[in-house]
Amino acid sequence: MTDNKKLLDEFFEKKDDCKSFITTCKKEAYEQAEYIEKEKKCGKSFVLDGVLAGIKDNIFTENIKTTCASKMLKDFTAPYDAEAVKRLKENGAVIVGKVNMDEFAMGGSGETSYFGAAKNPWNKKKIAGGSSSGSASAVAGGLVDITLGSDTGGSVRQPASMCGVTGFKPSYGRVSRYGLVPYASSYDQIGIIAKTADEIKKVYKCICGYDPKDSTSSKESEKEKAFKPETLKIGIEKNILEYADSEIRQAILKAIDFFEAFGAKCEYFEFPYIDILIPVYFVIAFSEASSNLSRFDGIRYGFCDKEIKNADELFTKNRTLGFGKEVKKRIVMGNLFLSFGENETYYQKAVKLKRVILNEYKKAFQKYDIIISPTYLDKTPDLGKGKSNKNFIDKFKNELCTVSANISGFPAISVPCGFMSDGMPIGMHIMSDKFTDEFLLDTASYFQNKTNFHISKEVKPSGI
Amino acid sequence: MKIDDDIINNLEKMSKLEISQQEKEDLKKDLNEAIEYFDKLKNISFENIGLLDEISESIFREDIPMECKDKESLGKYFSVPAVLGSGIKS
Repeated sequence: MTDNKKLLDEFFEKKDDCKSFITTCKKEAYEQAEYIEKEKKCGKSFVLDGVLAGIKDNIFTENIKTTCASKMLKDFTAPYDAEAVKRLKENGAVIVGKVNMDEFAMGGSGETSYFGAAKNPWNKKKIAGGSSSGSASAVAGGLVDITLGSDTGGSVRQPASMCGVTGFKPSYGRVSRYGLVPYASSYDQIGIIAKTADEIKKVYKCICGYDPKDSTSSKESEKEKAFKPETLKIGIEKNILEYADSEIRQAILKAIDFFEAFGAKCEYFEFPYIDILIPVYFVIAFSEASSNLSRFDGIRYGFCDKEIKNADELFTKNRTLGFGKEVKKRIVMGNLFLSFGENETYYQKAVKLKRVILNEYKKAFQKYDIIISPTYLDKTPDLGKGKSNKNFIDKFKNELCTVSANISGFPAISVPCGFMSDGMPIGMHIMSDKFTDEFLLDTASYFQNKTNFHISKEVKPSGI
Repeated sequence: MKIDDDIINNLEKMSKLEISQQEKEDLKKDLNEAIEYFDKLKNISFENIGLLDEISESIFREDIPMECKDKESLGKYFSVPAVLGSGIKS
């Protein structure tokens, strides 16, 4: 029988030297463990018994701080659990704390966190990726079994790829967003990070399903689709593969060979709207962000400079002092795209083109069961060099691999598929049709059960 | 469109943010690069694509009138701490 108390004793003895956590919650964790033990003695069983979980710090947890890694919310405590957290706990998982992230999930390196960047357990000089940086580094560093993250443009899959773990973004609408602090509501989705796709599937089945408290939650059920390697049809995004670093490209090609060896039919295809994926993604994301973040004025939530006497000055001062540079930049850009005269040119066009992109992917999934590409195109950057020296376009080049799943709402996963010559892990991105999430997880699981990239190199961060 | 100081100052006001001169210069550079990149959206034809086409089913619950709670039972929820200085209370 699992001894949750012992697991917690072990967890709280470990040293978090990758800054994976912002907050740990000893009292609440032991209380939950005690409750589980009591229920088990009465004959109840829990699917997630013995699972220690970390929650990204933009997902509400009752009585535990939810900071969004921002000065704006550094002392904010949520009044209730997010639906996904509630379901995790009901199924016996023990929440041990809140994990690090880019401020308000804006960034791809973890470096915009007000509390300092999470480090990559494979090499502490490297970024852990973002925005769910702590979610990935906590699992890779062996601190927890699973973490919840949020994925708006690849924020679960990209750090999972850099930290050599498995990161899954479900179909939009499959996991309730109730209690997730919104960044770009039409893209945001709560995702799961664990070492294997099997563990993710177990967690996913506990937290997915309709929630009336989230108006975008879907009542549609999972499409029945059995995984058979010999009949699998795979589309490979040729143009994205060509942008990738040669070592990454080679790893993906080997993974494709793997599937072919088991009878899968693989075909290269060129996505016709590749050039507009990033513009469409960012116009909508920044516009929604500027609207969503307008609620943070220091009055209802978080940071407030009490010395100010005038309301207008109060809003401006609180927002100026409370938000970091990247967040401010995205708010300003969003306001530009939504402003009078530019709304039609940018925002409305992007929304229409989102539909065009979705239709094109729907067409692709009439031909293929899954679409494969790299999760990240370049070597994992060093801390401090992630994005600072690049121009705007280069900064977002890597999002090309992952944003399509958010624009279309399709499920996608990143699984480890090799290593760079510098020893850092490489991730393979697999996307499938909407509401075929379990089929996608079965596909990833098949790959992992026949390969050992997710376990072949022991991660031993010092002090853990 | 070229992003100039006037546009930046306007956006600063709309965003309810104070932006330093250095940040404004960085922002102007980033915005100009972004606009150039996003101008790709201008060149694409998407006739017959509606703005709300992506909504294929109603995602909203049915609009059923319900009895509302009486104000008195909700009274305690309207008490909030002072925000501005210490003099204004609601």
